[in-house]
Amino acid sequence: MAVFRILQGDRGSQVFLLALTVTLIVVPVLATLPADHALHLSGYSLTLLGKYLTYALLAVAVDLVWGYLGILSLGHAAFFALGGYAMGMYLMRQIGDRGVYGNPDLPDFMVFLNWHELPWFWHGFDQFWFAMLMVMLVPGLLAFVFGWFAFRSRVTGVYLSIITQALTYALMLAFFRNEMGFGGNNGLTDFKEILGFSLQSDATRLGLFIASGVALGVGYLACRGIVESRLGKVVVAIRDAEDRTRFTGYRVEHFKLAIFTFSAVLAGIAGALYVPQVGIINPSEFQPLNSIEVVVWVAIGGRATLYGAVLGALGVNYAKTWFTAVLPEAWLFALGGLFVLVTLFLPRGVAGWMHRVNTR
Amino acid sequence: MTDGPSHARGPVFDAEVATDLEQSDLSHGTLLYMEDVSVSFDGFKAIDGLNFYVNVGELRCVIGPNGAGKTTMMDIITGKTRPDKGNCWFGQRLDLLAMDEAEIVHAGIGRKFQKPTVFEQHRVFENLELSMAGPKSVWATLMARLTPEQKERIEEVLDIIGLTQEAARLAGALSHGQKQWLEIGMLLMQNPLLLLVDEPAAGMTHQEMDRTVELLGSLAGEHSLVVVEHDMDFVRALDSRVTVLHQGRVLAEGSMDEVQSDPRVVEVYLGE
Amino acid sequence: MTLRILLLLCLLTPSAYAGRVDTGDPRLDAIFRILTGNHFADKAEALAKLAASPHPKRYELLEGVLSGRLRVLKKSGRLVWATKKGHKYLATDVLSGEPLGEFKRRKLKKIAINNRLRRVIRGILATRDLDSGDPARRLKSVQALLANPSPAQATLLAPRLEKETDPAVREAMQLVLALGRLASDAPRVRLQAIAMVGDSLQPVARQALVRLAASDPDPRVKQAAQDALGKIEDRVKLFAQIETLFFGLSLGSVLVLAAIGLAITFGVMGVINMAHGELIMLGAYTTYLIQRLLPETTGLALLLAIPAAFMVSGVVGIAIERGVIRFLYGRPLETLLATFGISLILQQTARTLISPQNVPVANPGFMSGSWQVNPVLSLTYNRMYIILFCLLVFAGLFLVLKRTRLGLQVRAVSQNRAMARAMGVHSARVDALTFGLGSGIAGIAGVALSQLTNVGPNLGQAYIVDSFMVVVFGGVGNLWGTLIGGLGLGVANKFLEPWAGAVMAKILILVFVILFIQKRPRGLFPQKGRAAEG
Repeated sequence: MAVFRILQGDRGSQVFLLALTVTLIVVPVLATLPADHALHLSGYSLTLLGKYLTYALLAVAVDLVWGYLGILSLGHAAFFALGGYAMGMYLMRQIGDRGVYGNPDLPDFMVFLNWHELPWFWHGFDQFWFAMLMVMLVPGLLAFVFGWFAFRSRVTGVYLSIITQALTYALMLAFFRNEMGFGGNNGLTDFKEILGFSLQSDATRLGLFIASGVALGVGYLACRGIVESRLGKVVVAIRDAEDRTRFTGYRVEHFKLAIFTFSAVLAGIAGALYVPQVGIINPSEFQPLNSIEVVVWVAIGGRATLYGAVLGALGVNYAKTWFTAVLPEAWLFALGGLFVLVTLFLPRGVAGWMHRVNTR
Repeated sequence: MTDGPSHARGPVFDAEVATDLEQSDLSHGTLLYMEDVSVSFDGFKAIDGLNFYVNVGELRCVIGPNGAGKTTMMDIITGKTRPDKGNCWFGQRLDLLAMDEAEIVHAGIGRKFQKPTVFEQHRVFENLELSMAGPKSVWATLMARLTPEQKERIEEVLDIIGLTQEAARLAGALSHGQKQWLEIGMLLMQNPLLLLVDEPAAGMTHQEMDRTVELLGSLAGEHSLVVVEHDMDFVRALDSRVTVLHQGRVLAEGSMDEVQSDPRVVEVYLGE
Repeated sequence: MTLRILLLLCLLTPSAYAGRVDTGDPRLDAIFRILTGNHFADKAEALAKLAASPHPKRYELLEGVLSGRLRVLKKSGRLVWATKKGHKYLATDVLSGEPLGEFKRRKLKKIAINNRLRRVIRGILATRDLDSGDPARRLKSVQALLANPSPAQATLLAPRLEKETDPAVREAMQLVLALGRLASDAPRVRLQAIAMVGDSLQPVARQALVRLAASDPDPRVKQAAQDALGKIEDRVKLFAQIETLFFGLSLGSVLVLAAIGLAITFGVMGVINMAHGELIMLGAYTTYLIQRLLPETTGLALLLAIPAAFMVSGVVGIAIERGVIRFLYGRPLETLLATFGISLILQQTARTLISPQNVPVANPGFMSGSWQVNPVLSLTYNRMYIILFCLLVFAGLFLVLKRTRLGLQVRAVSQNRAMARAMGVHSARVDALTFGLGSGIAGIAGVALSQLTNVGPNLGQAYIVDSFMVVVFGGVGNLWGTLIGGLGLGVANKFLEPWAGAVMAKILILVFVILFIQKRPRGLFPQKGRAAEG
């Protein structure tokens, strides 16, 4: 089977996918145990786990472009947030007339702004399929257009990183504006239900958790498939010797564009799964810090391994949850220290370190 | 790599390129035309009214002092640098100045860089696989599977460049000379009509150099080669027609002996 | 309350007062007889007469009428100053200063005036400095006349205009006269007046012209007024553009200040320092702390803060370079990550040690106020100082790089590290010093920013993207590019603001730079030559 061929010889991926499968079986069981059972998993923990999984998918997307293609994107949170906004718009429309103002046609914030009709770009978002299409299309299209200009004019290296950062910064400023029609400062929130299921119920949370897990698994396999194919080898060749690849007859720009766009779509999907679990999407998701944090997850986990990205995303976010609960002051110190220590002492991340230890 | 320079390319390009070249090349015998080409960087004329022709199957050496325009000339042929004026034709019908790098590669021009450039994180075998002629679009590479014929071809080239033993090693782990050969092998995988080889002997031991001379010599005839080199012993060993570039122009052309006895060449090399 | 109603009644009901005034000066008596009467129409003329009279106390009297303190003692007809004391009034003779004792309110006749008369009096009072020896006071007084134009001003100004030597005062006087003539009945006079008003930017002049342009009976006058208005509008627009340009240059100077340190570390050394913004922040906090130490002398504190901030940020910069960056040369993306980590640590340090909130930084006196160039254009001093400061810092840095030994070594190392080392340049030391220089400049930028924006832990983040945009836009490795790029982006931003809004303008600029870099990846002024091809 294709899956086995893809995973052949990659121990890390095998272990990860096995662990993911086990998690997707065990967690639902624990979550449905009676509430007083010692092993019961609360709705809160479930949502937290689900959130981590969407982060892991985002990290995988970043690893594909950074680890393999060599493009350090400091704007991937923008694609994540755009996917999230698309999902948020669907969830907003699902509120119907149960908002504070009880307007059946307009979300609360539009009533508040004295708007009288739905802006054109909100049409269609009451349909789930349409929203899901947009979840992939909007980030994909943005990445495509951005990449089209950037790669064609051969902007590379730090220049590219800086303009991806400018991109997400510009989007953040834009989404902060009320006139944009995405809820301004407050963003989109107060969601009630998804596909008719209440977002508050444990069953829906479980469903979203499983959806996140499946999306991570499928996205991971897709990336793994790309990496294993000749396409993946060309991509690494571009990273290591771009000119050589070009003079070998590959249209480097097309490859970059394809991978970048695909990665943006993955990030969008991750964002779409993230929003119903945390219950809010606002412009701060676009802030440059978020994108850089993702890069750090990948760097810590070990880039160009895919499973390292997952490991980094889960590990750092678990640490973040722990720190912000116990030592909120220290979190930024810890995160900042991690940036420095990992780049100085673990250039290949935890995955690279484990690999070295194993082969020694 | 059997009988002619224009076979076994990807199906897309076979139709439009190879036949064109066959018609034009066979009738005139000239593969590359560069006429009255000039290019300057910030007022510095790197190439100044250069005329340069390469025949089908010819091995040509290009020498010249530093800054003579040797590398820039290769940049122009491969589409990396656009000249300010002049013409550059591949065969009779392909205007190289109107093509991008990938099109030029597909038309049959391969280039080896001055600094050996191979895909260090890939195995030697994979390096050759990636260089193989054939469809090179994103989708085609995603779907690509190695056929037995292709595998055979790769092994054949491995044999030519003498790296059969190293096939499974990472290219980054090769010695300097081996990287040079691998890069030449990668060019061969593209089945080019014209190979541009920039300083193949740089950093090589004498044994490696001899082996390289042998390799390049064996390629001539089936392919056209332009070799840029500094090492005079190496050029002499190649025993080919030599073009001397100086200040972006052709200073002299002829056999190594003829060129070396040319007083202008002597002045350029010794007078500096 | 009752008092007010009574006053009102006094004003409204025709007084039975016969109008006896006895000051010993018949002219004064005549004037005040009219003023205490009920014919408001005549009172204006009487006031003008009073103003024109050579009486030494005429302005005091007018002030008294205006304030209501000047009253007439009904019994004797003497002019008195009335000061309220309990239910009664203390009266003092105006001319002799002799105290006359206490009187009930109704024994004192108040001089009734209305709003029109108040305006007239104010107009007259405003002219009291017309004969002052100080041209500035004369100008002020003429300008006061502008606020209350009246035909009477002609008689006031015409003789003075002939004697006036100060051009600014003359111009103002002519304008006042012209404005008076605009109300003339003769169209020819009005036409002349329009020509005299010319392209004055005074709001009064514009208002008068607008009136004429809309409703003058004579079509020629109407047309002339419209033309004059058109010219004025053009000038107003021009000055509005100049003001926008000024705003743009000051914003651009802020950008240049923030970016110029980066131009050194990124442009010359090729190091991506994401902690650059926090080095700026350190400079701003240094200013704050020095002000805390010297609370009385904000100006001195600000000046001291410049070298102090340079030192603080410079030393931190050197520490960053020695501790982290030097291990990462040639790995720009890793440098980016590591320095970003440092920026987080510095931010959190500011939050923990000082405060998570913004801290107040005072502006010294010389920074506040503005230079009024003309009625529609005023330039604030703090913006002017920023532009000046930016140029000074730029010039200083430029000299350091071009004229000092360190500058020479920096340039050598940035062009060819190996060769520079071979020539005996201690490249590690040069790296550290260069980085320290760039960081120190960031600290200085922080001093400047502390005068313009909130000083808080997030200060640096707000400028880091902008700074990179400026450096990349201007062309990496080119200080001039940074200057031109920063000023250009600032000006463009301000010119976009009126029709796009502040946030949208910023977004448009960002998008523009993103597109620009894709068109010209090496920026506005690329580093040239074959070596740059890399």
